[in-house]
Amino acid sequence: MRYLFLLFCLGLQAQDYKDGISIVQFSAEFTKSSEISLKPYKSYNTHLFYMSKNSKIFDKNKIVYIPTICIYNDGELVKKIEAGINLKLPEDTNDIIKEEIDNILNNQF
Amino acid sequence: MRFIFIALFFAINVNAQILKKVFKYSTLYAAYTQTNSIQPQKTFYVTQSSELIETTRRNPADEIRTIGFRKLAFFGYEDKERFYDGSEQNNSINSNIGNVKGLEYLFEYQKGIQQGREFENKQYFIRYLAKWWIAKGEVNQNQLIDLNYKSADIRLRLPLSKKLSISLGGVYRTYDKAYGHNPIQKYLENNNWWYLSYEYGHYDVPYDWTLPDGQTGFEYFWFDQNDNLISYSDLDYRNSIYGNLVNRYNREQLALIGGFADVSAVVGLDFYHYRKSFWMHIYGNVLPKHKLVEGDEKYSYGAFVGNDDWIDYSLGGSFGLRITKTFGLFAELTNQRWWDRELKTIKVGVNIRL
Repeated sequence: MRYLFLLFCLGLQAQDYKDGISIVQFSAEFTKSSEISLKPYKSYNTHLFYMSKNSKIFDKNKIVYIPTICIYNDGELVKKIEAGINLKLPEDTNDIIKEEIDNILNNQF
Repeated sequence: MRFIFIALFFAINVNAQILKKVFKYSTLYAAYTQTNSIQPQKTFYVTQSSELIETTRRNPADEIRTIGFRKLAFFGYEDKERFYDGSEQNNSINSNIGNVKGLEYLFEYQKGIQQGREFENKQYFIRYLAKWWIAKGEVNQNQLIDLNYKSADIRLRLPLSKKLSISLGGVYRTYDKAYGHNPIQKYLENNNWWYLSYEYGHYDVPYDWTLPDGQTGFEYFWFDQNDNLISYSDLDYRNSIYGNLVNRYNREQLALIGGFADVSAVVGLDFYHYRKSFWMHIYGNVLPKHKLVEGDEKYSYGAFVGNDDWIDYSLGGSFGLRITKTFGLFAELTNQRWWDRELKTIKVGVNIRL
């Protein structure tokens, strides 16, 4: 019973970076200059993962390009914005994020 | 002059931004609903000449007119209707936190008729959820379930994780009944039951009876204040008429006492996890200490229980698990005890899709 409870708690904690409306930036030390600031989204669930420290999360989320921004809603991937061959995110990345957040919120009310 | 124009422009711009934030995602709605009402069993009256007369009271159709304005997020597990009509049930109102941070509100007014009874319901709810604090105000007047209260609470919030938070603060609550007090009980301790009837203008007239076997006795006819015969015996009178007088007396005496307001300490807990295949939402509040701030202390709930540290609580939970694509379990529970009023709902079920 104790193990079952432990397993249950671990299950709840797993992937909590995808809870609620979540904006996750996948990057690497050498692409820091290409990252966007997640500060404007601090009222949501924001995370920044580096390849060197969180390689398992990169694998799990099938991150191929860096930087990549993933927007999740309660665990489900809503939008993936990937950098191009120049290792830079699209110029309108912030607009895309805002639009996706707006869509999610619009569906919640 | 230029400075005034700049200041004015700035003020208008700031106000427009605030208004946009307040009203974005809000919905103004109005609805009219009409459904067949539940009809009572047929009743008949037979005259002295054996004529059968149907006396069934037909209830008119149930009607509800609703007007509302809302900005209240649904939790992931709640079904969001395409259009709002006032019948929505949001756990967000019962729990301490909503599915979004910031301002949420609901202003709803309903008027209608149900089972032949006219009613008027008002529900006003407003909450601001920040990372470290919560402020909430509510007015709820529901004539269908005889509920009437106002509450306002402010709390500090401590998020223990993304899913779990506790909150501590104070809540102001009003109640319009002297809970625990039963005026008729006190009345009957000092008076015979029929004195109450006399107070409401009813009177009795004795008569003698004799059975065919020669047995004799006496009884009382009962008349109302207009001299209409309303009952043929004490027993019949107590069974059919007296209950209404008791309710009327209680209602009048409690109305004389007036309303009350308490300020109470509150500790709350909220846990919310949602994925499509598994969700769990638990919320609860415990109110362990109270102070009467309005109303006659003699009839307050604190006076009834004899102290100011009775425990009020409200708990709720919603749980769902999709074990496979076609098989799922769900449960919902709410339990609230405020003063001596307890509300409880339990819903459990299974879904098997064929």
